[in-house]
Amino acid sequence: MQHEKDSVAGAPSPRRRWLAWLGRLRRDTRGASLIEQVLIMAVAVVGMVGFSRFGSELHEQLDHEAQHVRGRGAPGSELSLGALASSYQPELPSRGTASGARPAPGSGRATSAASSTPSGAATAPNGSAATNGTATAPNGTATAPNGSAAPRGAASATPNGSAAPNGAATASNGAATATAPNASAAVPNRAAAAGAAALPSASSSGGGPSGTPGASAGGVPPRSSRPDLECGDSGRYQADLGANSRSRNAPRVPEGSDLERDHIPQGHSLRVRAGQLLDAEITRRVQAQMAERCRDLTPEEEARIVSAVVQETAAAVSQRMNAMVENRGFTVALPHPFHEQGRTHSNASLAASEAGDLAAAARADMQHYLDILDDEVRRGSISAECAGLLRKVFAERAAVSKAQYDAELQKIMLTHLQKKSGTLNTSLKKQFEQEAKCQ
Amino acid sequence: MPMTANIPHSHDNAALPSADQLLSLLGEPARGARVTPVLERLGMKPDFSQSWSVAVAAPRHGVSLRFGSALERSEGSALGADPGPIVVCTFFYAPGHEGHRGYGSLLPFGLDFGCSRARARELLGAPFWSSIRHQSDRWNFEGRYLCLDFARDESSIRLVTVGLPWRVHS
Repeated sequence: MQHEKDSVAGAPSPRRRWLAWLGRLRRDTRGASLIEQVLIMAVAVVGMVGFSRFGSELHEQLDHEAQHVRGRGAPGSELSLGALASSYQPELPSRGTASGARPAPGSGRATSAASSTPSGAATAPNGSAATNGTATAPNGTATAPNGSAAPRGAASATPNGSAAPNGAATASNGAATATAPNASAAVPNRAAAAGAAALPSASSSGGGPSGTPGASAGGVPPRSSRPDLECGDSGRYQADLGANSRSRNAPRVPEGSDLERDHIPQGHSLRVRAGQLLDAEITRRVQAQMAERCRDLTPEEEARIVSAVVQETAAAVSQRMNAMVENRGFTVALPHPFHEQGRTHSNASLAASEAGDLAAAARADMQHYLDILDDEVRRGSISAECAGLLRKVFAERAAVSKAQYDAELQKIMLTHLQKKSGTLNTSLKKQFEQEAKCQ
Repeated sequence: MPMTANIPHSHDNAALPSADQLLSLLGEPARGARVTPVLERLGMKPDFSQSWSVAVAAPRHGVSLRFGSALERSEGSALGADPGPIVVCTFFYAPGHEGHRGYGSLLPFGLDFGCSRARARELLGAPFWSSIRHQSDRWNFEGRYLCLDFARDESSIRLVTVGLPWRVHS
């Protein structure tokens, strides 16, 4: 007998007693609901504390924003605008006027004359943001001697060592003057760099001449501020030019600016072409299925099945596909008075006829802009600097072929068709069930 | 408006090949000397760039032809080396069906479009196959199949299909 054996062997060992206690505990159901309640309460308390903390942080952040609006310094920085006022240079070029004017020639941003490195330092080809090596940084950091603006962007470098407002870096010789308001010299670079990634990629511009997208000479922009869109910026409608985007890094049209984002070729043509490719792909798949499952259909029966399936499936696919096509479309930022002179402005009638060759349509759009560019600069609807940027961007985009446009749209189309393959199969099944000659 | 108002009219009845002529094209290469002139007469231009399985219609004449691969048909091996797309099927349409003017010459097997389903069965015997859901009967003759699609009330024929039987895959 076990009991006798235990008593003979003496008291059970502590390990046995421990295991026995654990076994009892496992079987014990008393107090289960109490433990559940304690757990629920604990989670609730943690949640409350978390939300409370989130709320106070948000409040604090908003306070900083409000102070910034009142001119009491940028959020997240010790620097006050008042402290910078003493070193303010009135001749410092201003950015993005109402007509999209950029800084005067010779004082262009890092995009045109300088380049932005992946590490975020803005470098000027001919010297540098800090030629004399005497740049000062308001936050006390020293700038690189070879003219690279300090990566942590609060630094601003001028030849005479004075600080520029808002972290703008300037170079004296005019060959390269880099201004980086909000500490983001890479803002314009997203244009050139992102232009390569826009629909479709221009093979000639891998990464663009002026830097890496997202690289910031001034470091990470403050959380709450989105960089300003500037005339001549180019790239994907959403990811690079910030349309339909809620990303805090996405550029936005500055308040009071008349900048507009213009698809080249026009967005409607892109959508029409994507629709054509979608119809062709669905037709191909339906025909393949008919060859498998149907016997000797008349041309009319065949057309009826194809048409019904295409209609049903395309309707399901188009909405989201069109949104992506538009968001990935190549776009340039233009001032409204110039944009409205565009070939396709408020003219959707060209879309269908031009969808067949998007490269030709884009070239025609760009050529039209180039033709009127000088006149419009004289009229003041666009700045000379922006005009120069457009010439460069258009030259790059002219290399994109019809096949490249189609390939990019095909990729988007297939992604969305794949998501709706269930609709396609259901529609096929329905049509085949109605047809005596199909299984 | 009459139901046939939008149906195209044939301008040249002399262009209309007889049923025998059309049936003799079954199994013939689409680009062969016998088929090409008939296609021209009917104004048909099949496009084989994407696939050999192509159907073309001549609504003015009430006729359609289907082309396909010889390898899919039971006669395929008898045709020797792969001849490319061949005529695999001929369709004769009743007036107004699928927007066709209607085939204006004599139908094969002594049929006419006014023939009812019952009358067709009397004439041709019991069908090899009948559709449960559709008004459609099928007969197999030597080296050809005949399929008749009837109107809903089975009082008339809407479509006569004569084609090469499909190869049965083992």
